[in-house]
Amino acid sequence: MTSTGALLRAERVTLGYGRRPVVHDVSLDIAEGGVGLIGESGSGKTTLARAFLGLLSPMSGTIRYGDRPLHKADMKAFRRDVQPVFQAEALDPRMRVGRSVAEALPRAARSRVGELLEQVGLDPALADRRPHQLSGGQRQRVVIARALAVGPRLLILDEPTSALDVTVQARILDLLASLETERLLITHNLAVVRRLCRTSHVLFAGRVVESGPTSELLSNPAHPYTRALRDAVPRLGGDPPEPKGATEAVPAATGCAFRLRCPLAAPVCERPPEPRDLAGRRVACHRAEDVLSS
Amino acid sequence: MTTDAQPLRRLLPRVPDRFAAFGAVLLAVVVLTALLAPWLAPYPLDEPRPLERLLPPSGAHWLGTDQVGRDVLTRILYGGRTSLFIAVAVLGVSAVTGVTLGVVAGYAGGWVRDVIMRVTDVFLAFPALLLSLALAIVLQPGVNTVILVIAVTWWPWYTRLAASVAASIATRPYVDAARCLGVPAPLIVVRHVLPNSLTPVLVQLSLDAGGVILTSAALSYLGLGAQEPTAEWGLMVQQGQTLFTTNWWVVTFPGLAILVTAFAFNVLGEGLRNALDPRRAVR
Repeated sequence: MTSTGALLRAERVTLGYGRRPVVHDVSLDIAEGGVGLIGESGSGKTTLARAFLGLLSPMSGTIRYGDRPLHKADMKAFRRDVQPVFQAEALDPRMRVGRSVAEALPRAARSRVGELLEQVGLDPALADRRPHQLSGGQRQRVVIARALAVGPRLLILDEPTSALDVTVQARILDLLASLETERLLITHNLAVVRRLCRTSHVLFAGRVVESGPTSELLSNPAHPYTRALRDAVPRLGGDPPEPKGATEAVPAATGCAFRLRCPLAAPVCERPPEPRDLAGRRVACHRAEDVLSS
Repeated sequence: MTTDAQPLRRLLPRVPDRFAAFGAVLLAVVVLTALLAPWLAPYPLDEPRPLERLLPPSGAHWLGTDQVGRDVLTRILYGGRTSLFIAVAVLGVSAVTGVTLGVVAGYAGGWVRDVIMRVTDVFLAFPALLLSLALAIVLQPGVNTVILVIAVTWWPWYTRLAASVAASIATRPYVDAARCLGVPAPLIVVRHVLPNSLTPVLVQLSLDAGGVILTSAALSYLGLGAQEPTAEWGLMVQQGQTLFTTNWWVVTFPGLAILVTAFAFNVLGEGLRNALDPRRAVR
């Protein structure tokens, strides 16, 4: 899925640590309306986010910032435009939170710390506290305030609510939804991605297996992994979710990586699936039609 | 925890167990007596009294006199200054050098880490005492030589420790966040990596202090460290060794001073390690 005018774009990007690739040949745009990266732990979401933040260089392929490859871009402008929001633990435990926020500001603008804390719904007096003296929700707001300090156009949100309880999650989501920045959201929480992202990409074993409008993906998935993710969400008052297929199986080394866990796996799945357009989304599955119709 | 230990705990809230508190108090006594030696010492430091040679402990000389008639208690009090100074200087030089290199290696990674760690490995490949002895033989004996030769063998341990901690800190999200804000690498190291790497180093320093005192005593004992008329515990033991069977106090009391100080440092270090590492915490 590519479109023109995206602030950030991955073009056939392969990423890894040392010589071991963990994200394979991924192409995607950070389009308007919020983009979600969905997948289980170890699927490569955070690795991809680190590449978009310029913290990890691709083994092959290109990350583009505007019309230039990131490694040739004006990094000062990039750092102003793109900021991360990590989990609430992303504050230096020894540093007062006001100082953590001030780190993002030029010396002359450090008086803005109180204003930024207020913007995220915190009492400016909390600036003198250390992270362990704040609640998880307050810490997450400080992390957001720090990211907002430089006036970014795009926030890369890496599991911003996963360590928070449900009521605090809701308030943080309200705050994120109210911000006027673009966002790339990395999460395994489908409710969060439904709330904040118009487009989503589902990652499995370092590959994008399905991309498209979030509402379509979650209401009528075309990949068995997307469906498994959706069906694994417990519903209040309903029966507990039933695992389908071998949920703990490792990704297959050849063919479709999901086939060892896929309840619809067939001999054809021993060949790697090519991504194709189907029913308003892009999907990499030999059995996508069967998934849609089942 | 019994009630009689609670005043100690109030005095030392960061030290969770009584044993460590005892070590801290013992060390404080050693440091204070060394600092206050000019006021506490009953006799002048270097005043040989040939008529009072090798007097056993008595009311006039609580710990007896040595082979030239000097008061052993006086020399132990002043000797504490030398031994503690050597410990502080060795650990200061070693920690500053080792931690600086270690933090740079841990944060930078890649070839910078490889170069620093291989040099460190070269130093670690030599047996420490043997290297110290070899250097001490080449250089002029004295307190400065002791500090130099021990520090040469001590810094690599801090480099290794700091490098491993810094490498772990460098992957924390708050360091990534600082990178994403465009904070220059040297500032990230100074603001985030160094302060968060120091806790295990401080614990190691307190554990090592006893070892440094013992090593400096060993060098002095071999005649390669402090020289007469400097008061130093290891030197006192070396000078009194032949008298042990006939005039035991000349060698026993300085030996006890070394033992007590090394013990206090070690106990305090263990306590700090337990206090700062919840997995090893005393329950």
